[in-house]
This record gives sequence, C-alpha cells and structure tokens, in this order.
Amino acid sequence: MDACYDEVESGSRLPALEGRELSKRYGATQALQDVSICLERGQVTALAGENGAGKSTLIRLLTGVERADHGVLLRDNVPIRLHTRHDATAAGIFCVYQDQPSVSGFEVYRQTYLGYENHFRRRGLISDSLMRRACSDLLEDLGLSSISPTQRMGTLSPGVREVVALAGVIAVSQVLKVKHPVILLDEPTSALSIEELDFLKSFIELLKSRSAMLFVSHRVTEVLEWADAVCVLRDGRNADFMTREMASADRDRVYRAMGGVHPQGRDGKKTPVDSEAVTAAIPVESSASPDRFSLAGVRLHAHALAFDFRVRAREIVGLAGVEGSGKEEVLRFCAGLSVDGALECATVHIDGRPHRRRLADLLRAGVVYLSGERQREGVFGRLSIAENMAVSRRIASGRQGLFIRRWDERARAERLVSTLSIKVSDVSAPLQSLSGGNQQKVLLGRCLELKPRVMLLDNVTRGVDIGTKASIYVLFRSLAENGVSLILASDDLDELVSVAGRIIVFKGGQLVREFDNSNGDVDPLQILTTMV
Amino acid sequence: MTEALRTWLGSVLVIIALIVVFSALQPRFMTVLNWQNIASQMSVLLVISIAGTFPILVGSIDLSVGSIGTLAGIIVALSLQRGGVGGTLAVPIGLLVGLGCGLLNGVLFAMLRAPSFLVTLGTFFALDGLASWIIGGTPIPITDENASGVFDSNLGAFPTIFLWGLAILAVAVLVCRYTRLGRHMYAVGGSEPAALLAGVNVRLVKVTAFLLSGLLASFSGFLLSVHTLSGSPGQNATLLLPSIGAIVIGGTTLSGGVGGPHRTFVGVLLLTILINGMQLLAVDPYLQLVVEGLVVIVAVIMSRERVSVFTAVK
Repeated sequence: MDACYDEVESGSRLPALEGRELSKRYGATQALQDVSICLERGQVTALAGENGAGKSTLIRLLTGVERADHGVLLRDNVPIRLHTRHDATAAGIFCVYQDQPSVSGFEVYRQTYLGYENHFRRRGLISDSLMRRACSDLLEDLGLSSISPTQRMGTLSPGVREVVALAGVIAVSQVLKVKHPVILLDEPTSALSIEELDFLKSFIELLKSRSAMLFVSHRVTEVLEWADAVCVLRDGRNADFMTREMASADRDRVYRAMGGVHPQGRDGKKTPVDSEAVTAAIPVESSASPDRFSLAGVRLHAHALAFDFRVRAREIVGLAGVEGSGKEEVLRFCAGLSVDGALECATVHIDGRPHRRRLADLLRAGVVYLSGERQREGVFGRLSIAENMAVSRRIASGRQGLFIRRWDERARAERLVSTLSIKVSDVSAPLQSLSGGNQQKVLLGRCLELKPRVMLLDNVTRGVDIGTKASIYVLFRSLAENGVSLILASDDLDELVSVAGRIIVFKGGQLVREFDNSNGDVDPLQILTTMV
Repeated sequence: MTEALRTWLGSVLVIIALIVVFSALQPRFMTVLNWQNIASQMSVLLVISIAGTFPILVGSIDLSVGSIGTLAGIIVALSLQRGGVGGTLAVPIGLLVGLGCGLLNGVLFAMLRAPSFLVTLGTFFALDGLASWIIGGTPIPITDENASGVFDSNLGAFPTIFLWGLAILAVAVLVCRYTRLGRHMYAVGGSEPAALLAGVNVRLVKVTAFLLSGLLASFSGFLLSVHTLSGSPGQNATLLLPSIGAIVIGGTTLSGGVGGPHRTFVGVLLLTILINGMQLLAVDPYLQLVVEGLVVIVAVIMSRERVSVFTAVK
C-alpha cells in the first residue's frame, strides 16, 4: 500500500510488523495478491473486508500458520521468516481468535501459561504457586482483578475468556521478554455482548501503548470507533488504506472500498448453462395460492422479534446480513432443521397446504436446502458424481424400491452433467476429484433431481470462479421462470442485487429491512449500511 | 486411484506373491486338498469379517461380533441337543439371538448416542460371559448329522461351509452396491452431516448396520460350532482381531464410507493363505502371530488418510 509506505518512510512512525506484497494461492484460487500491510507500535489497525476478501489468509501468513508464495515480512524493520506458529510466538507475534480454544477444565493461570510451565520452576519441578502468583500479579496490573486466577476456563463467559486470552498474550510476552508484542485479533467482537464489548475496548486502549494491534472486523461502526487506521481488502488485494480522520470524514469510503462493484457486473451475459434443458427438467407450474412458501412467527432466539417469512412462486429472494445476523439460520429453519435457541413453529405452508417443519417431510414437498458448508454438509467426496446426484432422489419421491438401478442413475447423471455443463469425463469418478465450482454444480444437480419447488441456497457461489458463477445465475433465472421459488443467503451483495427480486436484511437474528429490487436498481451500499 | 483401491490392489499382489513363494517352498501347498483346506479355513473368518464390515462402513465399529458368534453357536448347540421343535428351528433361533444382540448394540449406539467402540466393548464382555454362564463353562457337543451334512460336507470339490460363506458374501455385496440401504451406509460413513441434510435417516441406517452385523456374526458362530462339532465358551472371541485385520487389509477404512464386503473377501483370503502357508512350512505358531501383526500394520499404513491441502478456502 503506497500510503502506508510513504508514512513509514517519513520516519515519524515505528513499524512493528510489516508485510510487503504478500501473495498466496490455494489450488485454483488466488487468495491474496500483492497485499501489503504495516502495523505500528502504539496503534490499532483494523482489517476490514467482506467474506472471502482474504482477511483470514493474511492473518494466517502473519502468524506463521502458512507461508506466503511471494512477499516478505519485517519485524521491527528486520526481515523474518515464519515457518510455524511457534516461530511467530518467538518473534512476539500473537493471535487471539474469535473463539480462542481453551482447556475448559484448566484454571485461568494454567491456561495462561500453558506451554510455558518451564519458566515457573522451583528446584527443578514446576510450581503451581509461582504460576498462580505471576498470573494474579498480571491480572491486577492489567486492571482485571475481578478475574480470579483459580477460576476454571469453562465457567467463564465467552467475552471474559477472550479477555483472558488477551491477558495471556501479555503474560507470554513477559515470559519471553518481548517488549512490544504484535497482537492480531481475529474478529474479537462477533460473539460479545455490549458490556463485554465496552470492556474489550477499554482493555485494548490499555494495551495499545505497549503493542501493535490488528483487529479483523466486518462491522464498520466498530472499525471507525476503535481503530487508528483502516486497511481494507477486497478480492485478495489491497482496496484502500485510511487513517481514522480520513475515514471519519468520509464514512462511505470504507463501504465503497469493501463492496466495490464486482468485475462481473450485473448482467450474466454468455453462459454455458443450457437453459432450455433446465426448462425441460423442471415442469412449469402455475399456482393458485399467492404464497409458495410461508412460515409465520419465526423467532430465532428468545429476545428477537418474531417475523413472518413468505415467498411467492417464481420469486428469487435474497437474504443479506453480516456474520451472526441469522440469515443462514433462517434458511436452515426453513429447511426443517433445528436451530439452536430458535423458538419452534411447527407448520410450514407450501402452496397453502400445511406441512410439518421436518427435513424429510419438507424434502418430499419439494423444499431443498443446500448448505453453505459444502465440504462438511454437502459433498460425499468418495462417492461418485452419479451417486452424489442420486442420493436424495428416492427419499423425496417416496418411491422406496429395494434395488438401485445403477445404469439409470448413470444416464440421469450424464444428462444433468451436460445440462449444467459440468466439466467431467466420467460420472463414476469420485466427487472429490472435481474443482470446487464443479462440485457445487453437482450438488445443484442433486437439488434438480428432486424436482424442487422451493430452493434454499446458502452462499452457493462462495469459492466458485467467475465463469461458473455467471452460469449459476442463469440457472437461477431459468428455474424461477419455470415456477421454482429461490431463497438465497449470500455474503456477496453484488450477487444479491443482480439476481434477487427482493432482498431481506437480517441483523442480530431479526428482520430489519426489506428492499424491492424488481427493477434491479438497489444499490449494494444501501444494503450494506442497513447490515452493519 | 484412491487410497483404499491402492490398498486393495496391493493386497491382491501380495496374495499372488504369497502363492508363488509358498508353492516354491512347499510342494504340498499347491494341491487340491490344500486349497479345499484353505477354503474351509477361511469360511468362518469370512462371514464374521463381513459382519464387522457393515458397522465400519458407517463409521463405527462392532467389537462384539466374536461374542455374538459364541453365544449364537452355543444356543444352536443347546437347541440341537434338546431336540424337538427347538432342534428343528435351531438355526433360526441362533440367528434371532444375533439380531437381538445387534439391535441392542444399535439402539445403545444410535439412539442413546454412546460411542460404538465402548458400547460394543461392553457387549463383547457381557455376551461372552452370558454364553459361558448358560452352559456352565463346559462345551456342548453337536451330534446332529443333518447340520453337518448341510453346512460342513463337500459338494463336488467344494466344501459346503465355503459355499455358505460365498453366498453370504454375494448377498452382502448386493446389499452394499445395489440397494438404497447400502448406498446410505456409504453416505453416512462418508459424511454424516451431509447425509442428514440429504434426507438420509441416519439413525435407522446405523441401527441396520448393527442388525446386519449381529445377524452375520451369529451365523459365523453357528458355522464354527458345526465345523468343530461343539458349542464352546469363547469359541469366536479369537476371531475378532483377525477379522478387523482382514477388513483393513481389504481396504475398508476405519473412518467409514469406503470399501465394502467385496474388499473384505480379499483381506480374508490374504490372511488365510498366509496362515495356511506358514503352517505348512512349520513356522513357529508364536512367530506366525508376529507376522500376522506386521501384515496388518503395513496395510493400515498403506490405507491411511491423506488430507489434501487444496481443499476449498473461503
């Protein structure tokens, strides 16, 4: 980032950790491309960007979890190489993750000095009392005397655990005699209550003078309140860098940098999906009832306001919201899965007819769900492409014949492969041999096999290349034209405004705003401001 | 080529190598009589290994197959001894016992969500104890001519016990490859969350895997009783570890979702030929165990999971 370099070279600052032109590639995905970042002592830098912008990858490179393909890291202006997490710790670079793992049966002091017990020895043996005393001194020093060193980690709230993790960083840097640690906070605020947020904020203020800090966040208001400087990433590149003054003067600058217009634009243009074949695969339906799918009185948690959720036939509805907003949970709830803390509402109406809110029942009624966690909840990596496509078909049709006709399965799979133009030579190849985009198309094929009436799709184009994205959008439109209702949860606002006719924004488990996008004229910035 | 397939192919090559080596060293190895012997020796292990393959396919394990076999073998022997209606229905009774044990395992595991390793470790001890207690520790002789005639004689050149084993294998392969149940077992073993979302009744599939395991385990116990002409305490217990070895050698991974009975057959064949050859070469029985153990370890190393670094990154 040029701006960053200029200020460093002016000599007025103390760069504690600097990454120059870092690039990282995973298979076909270029996760980071020439990203530079500079963290200065006594400063809090925010790292902002949408999901998939490369924030996590950058953190992994800075903490030695992974190595960059290109680029250099400088610690106090000295080039360093980090091969493992331990190298990073030795160099005084620490990371606190949003849900920092801890041993729930351990007391605070044991957790704090876990791995550094050898520094607390008396006559060759590890001394718990030395450790306990050091820990209690530290907590007092940091103004955390409300936390007792002998409390067990499992009894603490997530916010307090996070504060303990932060204190642990200071503890370890004392033990290792690191004067000015670099502390990276990976989404420290996402799980916290308002009081815990205030506490964390004052704690960060306290540590600021003796360290350089970076924190990752999607929440723009937070970014502006906490940080001295903001570094924005988009699509794996530096999108912008600004000081707090610059950002406060022009608030929209952050939004603009985060959600710049997608290179693909909003017209799908030429695509490889054969939309006529899709038309043939899905029978055109005309429905008397105005609502294809409706759920009344949904409450995602006890304190959230209830909302109704209705979708018409032929409609594409987009669900927007930051992480933790509840948009994914709404989809899972609609699919008949149980959502932690959600208040039960038992009936779903499909075309005016009531159905039990249970996965198998809804599947039979034509409600199909595709999870956003493709690898964990969608793909059977070792089963063949044909088997992956066929797995739900009999369950949904209710035809439960004893034997599988493998040749029939093959023929159907081959038809779908050509309809969706999946790049594959043999449908009996294991699914894990395909690229991410093609795997996703196979899963979409599984949905089409069910003759869907309602499709619930969670971030269906995440990790998918641009060409495949475009062809998936065309598929969506032709499905909608043929009477299918689609509900898409997505972190990609450009995707939502270009595909969805209606966009519903969720925040904190509640429905906060609805945009009519039937003319395709909603601005992603408008949505973004209601999300955060 | 997948890891499991590589293991399987490796096993086939090892079998060929073993045959070549043993034929060269011991002229009695490559005779009709010895191959009949091998076929007969492998049958019980084959059936019990197929039994154990189902739970492993769904990502669990059944350690109680040996005990179920022992219990069923003893109950069949007792029924035959008592005669009457019980004698005629001895085999169905034994199989029912196996189904009951499988149901117990399945319910404890799938419904009460206890880990299968611990549940079946418990039933392993409990059923073995139960079997010994029923007969007071003394073997029950089998004198019934019919049972031996149907299950342990020769049909042409083939030992009937082997034909029974092959029949079980054929049905098991059919179930795994051509039925919905089989497909769902692979799905559950491959990825339980994905199977759940695809609408698979995961619990039912798991319970069914244990039912099949119990059923076939009891059949293996019965075959062994007929073969040894008695129902003896602990008779099938020694087969548990070789059967897990055979499953792994065949290329069914313990993580689930890969492999199947057809592969287990190869593993059983390999182990049986190895043991038979070593017996013919008069290798010390203790040393035989060492060799068997080493073979299992090599098979596990060859089939170990390799996690790809290039999985999707968000």
